[in-house]
Amino acid sequence: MSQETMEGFRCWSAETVADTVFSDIGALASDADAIFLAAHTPVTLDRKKGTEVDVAASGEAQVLKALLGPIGDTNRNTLIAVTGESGSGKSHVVRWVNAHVKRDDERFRVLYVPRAIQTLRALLHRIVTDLPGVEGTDLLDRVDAAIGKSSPGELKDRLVNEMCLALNWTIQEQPPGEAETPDEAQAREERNGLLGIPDDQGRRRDGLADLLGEPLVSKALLRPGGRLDRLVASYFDETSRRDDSEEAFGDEDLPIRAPGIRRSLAARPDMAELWDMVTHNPADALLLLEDALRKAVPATLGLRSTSGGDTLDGLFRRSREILKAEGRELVLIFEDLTQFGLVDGELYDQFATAPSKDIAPLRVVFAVTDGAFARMDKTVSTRVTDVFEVGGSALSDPQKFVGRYLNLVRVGGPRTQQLWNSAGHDSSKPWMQNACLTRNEGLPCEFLEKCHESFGKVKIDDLGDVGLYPYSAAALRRAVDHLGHEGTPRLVLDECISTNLTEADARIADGTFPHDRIDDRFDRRNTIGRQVLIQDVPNLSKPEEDRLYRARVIWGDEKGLPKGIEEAFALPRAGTEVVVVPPQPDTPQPERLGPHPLEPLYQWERGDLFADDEANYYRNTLLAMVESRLQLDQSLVHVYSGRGRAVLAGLFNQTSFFFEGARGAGAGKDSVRFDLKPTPENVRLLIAARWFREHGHFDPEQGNWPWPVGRDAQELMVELETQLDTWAATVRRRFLETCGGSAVAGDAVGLRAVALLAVGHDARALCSTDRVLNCDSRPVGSVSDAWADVQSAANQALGLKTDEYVAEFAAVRQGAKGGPQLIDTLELEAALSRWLADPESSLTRVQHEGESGLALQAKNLLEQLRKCEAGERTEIESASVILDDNLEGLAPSTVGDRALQIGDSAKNTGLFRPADAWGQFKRAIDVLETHTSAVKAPVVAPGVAGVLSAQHVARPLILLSKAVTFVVKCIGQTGEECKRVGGTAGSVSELRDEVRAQVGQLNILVNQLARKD
Amino acid sequence: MTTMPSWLAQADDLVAAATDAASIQAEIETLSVAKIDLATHLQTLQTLSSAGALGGGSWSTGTTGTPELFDALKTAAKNPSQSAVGHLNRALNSFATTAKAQLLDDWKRYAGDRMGNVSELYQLAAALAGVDSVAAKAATLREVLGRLAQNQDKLPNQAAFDLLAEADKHLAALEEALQPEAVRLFLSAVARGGASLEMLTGDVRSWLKANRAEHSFRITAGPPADS
Repeated sequence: MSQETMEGFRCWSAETVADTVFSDIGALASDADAIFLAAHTPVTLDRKKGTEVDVAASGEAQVLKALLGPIGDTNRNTLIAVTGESGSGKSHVVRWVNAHVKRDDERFRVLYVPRAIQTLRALLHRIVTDLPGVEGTDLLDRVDAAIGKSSPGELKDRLVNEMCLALNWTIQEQPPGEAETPDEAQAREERNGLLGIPDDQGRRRDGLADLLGEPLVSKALLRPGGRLDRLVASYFDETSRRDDSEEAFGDEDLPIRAPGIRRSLAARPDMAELWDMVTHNPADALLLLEDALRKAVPATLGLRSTSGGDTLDGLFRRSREILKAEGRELVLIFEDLTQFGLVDGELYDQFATAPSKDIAPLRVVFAVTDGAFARMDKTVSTRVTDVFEVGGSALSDPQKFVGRYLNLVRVGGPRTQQLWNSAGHDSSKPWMQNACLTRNEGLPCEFLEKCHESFGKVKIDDLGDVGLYPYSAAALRRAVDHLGHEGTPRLVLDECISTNLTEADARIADGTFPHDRIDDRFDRRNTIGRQVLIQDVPNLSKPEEDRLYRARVIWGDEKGLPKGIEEAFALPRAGTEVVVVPPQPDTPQPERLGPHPLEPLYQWERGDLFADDEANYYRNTLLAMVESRLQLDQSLVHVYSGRGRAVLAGLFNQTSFFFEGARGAGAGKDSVRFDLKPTPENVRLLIAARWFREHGHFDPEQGNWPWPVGRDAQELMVELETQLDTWAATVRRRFLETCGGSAVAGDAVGLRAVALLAVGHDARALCSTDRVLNCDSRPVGSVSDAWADVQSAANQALGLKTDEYVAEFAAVRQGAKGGPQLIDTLELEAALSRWLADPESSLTRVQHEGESGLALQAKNLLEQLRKCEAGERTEIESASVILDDNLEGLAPSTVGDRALQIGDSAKNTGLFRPADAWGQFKRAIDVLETHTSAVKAPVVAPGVAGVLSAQHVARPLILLSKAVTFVVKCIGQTGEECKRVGGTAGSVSELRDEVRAQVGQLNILVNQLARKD
Repeated sequence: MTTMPSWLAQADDLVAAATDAASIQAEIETLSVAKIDLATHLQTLQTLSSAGALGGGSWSTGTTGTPELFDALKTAAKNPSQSAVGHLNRALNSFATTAKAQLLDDWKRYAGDRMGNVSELYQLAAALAGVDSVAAKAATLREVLGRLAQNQDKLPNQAAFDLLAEADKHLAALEEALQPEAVRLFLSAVARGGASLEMLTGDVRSWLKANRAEHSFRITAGPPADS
């Protein structure tokens, strides 16, 4: 098809990509040498082992030389390992070797096992059918029978049984090795210990085999998804495998953390000890299980005949015998040695079997991953004669590597095969066409000049200049760079050829290329802001804008796109010429300038995740800038320390700037939150913020890093200033709404005043802020039981540093240290009046809306006031009644005086009661004495406020009532005592007369006894 | 206007009343104790008075109370207060002690005047108990003198006076039974405090020797009793 312009032009199709590009050599048919060789990029190999015989030969040619060179040497085998990481191209090397081994060479016969063979059955079939001179149908029948007549579960059980047999009988204990290190000796002994102790029949007891008999152990071993399950499934399914999916037993195949094992082994100390060894170091046990499985698989699958039938080893041996008899050698080419997996033992046996007069030599080349090669049985690895390691050479020139495939997909599979056939399958001469030069029936592409000029080209040996379309040099570089260090040839093919070309086919056709998925497959790093880069093409729809920006970054490297690219991709254009605002990013910058720090910001603008460090940087920057503009000191609020700082920090912090597409939680509903989406406006804002933070000015000539291309300093400055002011206003408003500003100080003063009332202070003394702040906060008088909890809460409230609240929320700060100097008392006095007028409402409000410290104390005090109000009111009323009833209008001091006289009289005659309460009675009298005038009962207004206000007068009243009550009680009991003793006095005069009579008689007697002279 | 609440006024009355009652009770307690104490003094003085009146009372010299005793008696008779009664008690205790001691002295003196030294007489009776002619009389005398000696340190009663008369009678009967006269005079003098050497005549010595009583007497320096 011929067309006028390149718009929508493609020189490949999704179908040709699918037909010709196989990133995994395993997916490439074994007879597709044409496709393979047409795109093959020579690989540089590092020869790790073996003698270099042809320095001039390419890497692959050296391998070929190493393989075929020894042909004729009947005394030794040749084993060549091509090693490398997964996807490095080692199988391609082997495939190249296979393509260059001539099958008509009479000196040898070839068994080639491509990676395309992915199942055990197919592998065996390939060996049996391609191994020269043997049939092996018996072996295939046995394997088919073993797999076909068993269920997966049965096969797993049989594997476990065979593993037990291997562990009990077959696997030998390792003898001490020569020059064995202590660690190696210990490892060997531990392995042998895991096998158990042989009994008199030679069967091992209390070893790993017996452990497999434990229900919990076998359950773990047979679990779905486990090693055995996957293995058996691979026999039944046509499961694809890759050399990077090497299988082995893992910790999860043993119930290491499952409870109950030790309990079940409690009666068998040796087994319990064995289990301890296994759990302590599972790796040794797992390796032993792998050895056992290696023995079990051939036995289970019928690879080893018990009745004299074919075995893999037998087939190989017979083939070698036949070839020897024919004077030929056996060449084995394995694209992936790990394909043999658990049946590699038979293969390895052959590797270890040296040629003899009856056995033909082996010439073997195989690809194997570095890891698998390192783990290879030493009996094999020590026999490897040559080792070639694949490096990253295939990608040393990505344009050439990709260019071959671009040419291949343009030529197409059928034409390539045709060309290969025409060349007689001889790759020693150029045989592949360059599509750019021949695609029009042997004539060059009609857009050759424009295409190569716009998209670029790459010169490839044997092909000439190959166009990079639909890549440009920049786009291809960005595609490969995007893969990073993981970019193996296989990955490059997958991403850069298979995926990108397939998608580009349809997208270019309908004019939507480069589409959004391109973002995920190319390195999109840029140094110029989106709006700057596309500002010359205004009024675009979002999809068109995206396409243009994407193309200019990826295909144009942030430069203007060549006309051919705009044409081919049908991109919007500003005019005949694309003009990008200078300076160009690659314009040499003065040496003093540091690296451009805005790339992460541009990535975020493009939709990438905003890097944590970057997002935090901008959060901190904006936070600091907005905070510096809050000017809350104008509202007399101090936010640089103390409560103001705490309130502000809770309200406005790093989380307040929520970047869409960045990690980290956004601020909650109680905080200010500014959402920043990756819009051009926000990017400009952040550029301005960063520039200003790092430079302190907006002078593009005085920066430490290049002024962002296409940005106007004045515009950025104005935008930043405006936005910061807007944000600051929002934060200021929310702050004042949240904490109330100077109202906080008013509330603090009010709360203190109410608390002072609650502890008995006189409301008349709390008439000003100054009086409230300087009032001694200690309780006045004694508190009633009913009011004790209120006093406790009030004391806690009085613990708040009200002066600090005033200093932080209602003070003008001046002086060198910025300390509070002047207080605006007007608002505070008004607040105090409101609090004293209706303390309950104020407490309620602050409880819900106030600063946290005040709110907590207000809530506590209010709760106690409401709880205690009724009790205290009753207390006051009762006190009033008591005083009214007992003082009968007299001054308490008057009553006290008289009561003291009466009590004293009673005490002198032992009649005071209670006899031990005289001291308490005196103290009660003292209380009465302090009240020298008649007591008036207070009028307690309704509600909390009433009781609160009455507290000052109620306290002495209640105390007086208690004193009066006690005095009344003592006097009452004393009166009762007086009544009791009053009735016991008898008649004294009679007794007095009797005594007088006695005295008279005594007088007579004394006289009678007087001397008679 | 009242000066105290009603509950206080009521208590005032009760306390006042109770305070008076207490005072009376205290006086009763004082008088009761005094009554008991004075009753004891009455019994003591009554005993002393009765003892002094025995035998016609002439042997007793009597004890005159001190002026303080009489003042105390006078005061207590006027107002038997606690202090007055206490003062009287102390004065009576002193008087009773003095009066009793005097009465005992008088009694001892009176018995000695009538019987001589009872102890020495008791020795003589014992010595004469071996003289056949007066042995029975001497033994009787000796028995009575033994009982009389037991009442020498007690206030006398009527029985003591009767015993003294009986001893006097048996002594007289013993003296009557002694012959010859010189012997009778000699032994009577011995019985009443000692005989002079002059009374130790030949007859006496012979009698003493005949009755094997020469070793029951001794000569001591000093004047005879009747000298």
